[in-house]
Amino acid sequence: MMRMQQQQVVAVEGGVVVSNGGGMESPDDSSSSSAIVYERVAAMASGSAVVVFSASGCCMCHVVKRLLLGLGVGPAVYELDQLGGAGREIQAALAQLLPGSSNGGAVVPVVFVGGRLLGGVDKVMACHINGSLVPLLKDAGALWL
Amino acid sequence: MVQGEESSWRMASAHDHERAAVHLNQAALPYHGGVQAHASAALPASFLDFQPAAAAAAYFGELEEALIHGAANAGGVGHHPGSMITSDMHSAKSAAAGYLAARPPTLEIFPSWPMRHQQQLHSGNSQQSVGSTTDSSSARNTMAQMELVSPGPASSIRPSPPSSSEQQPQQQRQEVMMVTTDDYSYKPAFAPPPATLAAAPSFQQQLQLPLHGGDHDKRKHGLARKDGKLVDSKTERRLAQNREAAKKSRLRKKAYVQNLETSRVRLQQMEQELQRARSQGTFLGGCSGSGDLSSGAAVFDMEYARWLDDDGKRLAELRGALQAHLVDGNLGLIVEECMRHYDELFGLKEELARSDVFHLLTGSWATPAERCFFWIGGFRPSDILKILIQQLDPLTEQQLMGIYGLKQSSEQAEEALAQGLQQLHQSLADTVAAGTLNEGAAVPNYMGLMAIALDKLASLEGFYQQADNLRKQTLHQMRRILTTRQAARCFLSIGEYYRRLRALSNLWASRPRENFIGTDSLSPTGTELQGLHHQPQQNQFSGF
Repeated sequence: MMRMQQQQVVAVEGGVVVSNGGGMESPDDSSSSSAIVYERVAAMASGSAVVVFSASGCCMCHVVKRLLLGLGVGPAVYELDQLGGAGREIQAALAQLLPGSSNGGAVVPVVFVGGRLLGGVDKVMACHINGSLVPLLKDAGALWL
Repeated sequence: MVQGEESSWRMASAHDHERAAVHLNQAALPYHGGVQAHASAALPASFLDFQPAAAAAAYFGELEEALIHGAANAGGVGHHPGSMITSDMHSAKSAAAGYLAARPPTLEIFPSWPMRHQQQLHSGNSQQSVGSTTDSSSARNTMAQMELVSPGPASSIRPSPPSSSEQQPQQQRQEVMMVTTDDYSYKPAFAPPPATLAAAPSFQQQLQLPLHGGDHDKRKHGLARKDGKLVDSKTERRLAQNREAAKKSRLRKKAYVQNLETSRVRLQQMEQELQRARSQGTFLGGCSGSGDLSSGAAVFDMEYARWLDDDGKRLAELRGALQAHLVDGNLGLIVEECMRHYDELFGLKEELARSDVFHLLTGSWATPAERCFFWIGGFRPSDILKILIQQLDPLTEQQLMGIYGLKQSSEQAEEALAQGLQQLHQSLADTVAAGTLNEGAAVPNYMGLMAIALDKLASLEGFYQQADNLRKQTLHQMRRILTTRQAARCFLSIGEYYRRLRALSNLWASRPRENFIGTDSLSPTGTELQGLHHQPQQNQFSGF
């Protein structure tokens, strides 16, 4: 948990991208217990108004990122494939949070808005179409005006 | 009985109205002694017009009767007037004989009357039903309604006001039955022509038609039913038998139609196979899709065909409801049905996407004109919205804002999906082209490369699902923004738009293409189209 705060944060064009996976590895067993992972995920999710857990090669993640960037949101993106073991743990934790994701077995992308879980790409799309996404983003402070 | 009717049949085909009438009379006489025979010298043309339709309905009963009793004679005779009958089909207005001969050999196979009733028909006394169905309203040989026909006799049993509208549906139904089974040549069908007169009895004829020779019973029964009092037990029994047989016919028709549908699907599959084989030439091992349609795809095609039929019915329902200015509650029910109908299609597609997404993406289930506008295996939501905005003119300010917002959201979502797809394409191309292509499959890690490419291809399924999801969400949101009445018009517009696209595809497919012997009726490729432009067009489509 402490290690997370030591992570390098690189500001990229209004988006905060955390890509250095080295610091995330924790040697002791207690870190791999699911409760701790969940806490970690929660902490990561609360770190920014909009948080996207992604994978660098995943094209569907690209879709979500494009959509959010197109709306003017600067999401914090965590590329789990670059976080090594911790990334796999987080992926497992997310899989439990989001059962039955339709993205061909891949759990990512997963979007958190205002620290709360929004969902996968279909949920994001559905919210955008029914007009609830933008108000949600505004409430979380990710968009203004 | 068959003999007698045969003779009168021949008489009919001689185009002698009077003689036919008299003959019918005489044929009928022995069978129902007490009934007065009204030999009508001058049947109104309309009666004659209708006869074929009405006759058709009863026809099959006779037909089956003939078959069941192994009426070989009937079969023999049937061939004779067959050609005459076919040719007379459209000249029914000419004479009673014409009427008799007018029933096409390929009459409807599913009678509206019971088999047992046909026995009575043989005895000629049920000619009343046919005559009775006819009325002065002219026969309309239109396929106005494709719904299953309620039993002719049964429907006629209902006391009904003499109105042509009531006649018409019956008539049309019978006509429909006649037309739909056109491919089915039923040779022995002509054996008992007068018996075919025993089609759905009704009252109108009683009022409007002078009694034909074979119409004694018809009149008698018409009378009975008209009054509602004089229904004798014989009639009741007959009517009950009619109902039974009608039920049987409906089931048979259903089975037949399903049979036709499966045959159609098989034909479709074969055509597709043929087309694929042609277009791919010697590419045997290359594409797994060059063989049969996958079973899932075949099932989907069949389900989709059924969905299209239902769609037609829904559109008709919507149109009727809008014209009838139904209360919002009732209209709302119909609109909900439409929404569910679309959801059903989305469900079907989702199911197939798990096993064979490429069938959906290539759009072989859709017609060529629809395929022109395909976006990831279906309609592009913002395109539909653009069309609908124009169709739904009186919109409130709030609704306009809602719709434009929806259009903008769907455009943004489409853009994001398209970008993701583009990235996928690029990534897939890079994977497949990895290493040196010159060495063919001898590069190291070829299988690893293929495995990665396979994964990337699999993610196409996800894109299709998201695109479909987008389409579904857009439709639902549209429904939420609009009032019930507007939503009804919206669904009607969408349905009609696609119906027109499909009609366009049909026209396109049926245009003459003498210069392209090898092409079948499926979608022409781009080169074909270009070639056509350079070819001399000596055909009736020049004005098209």
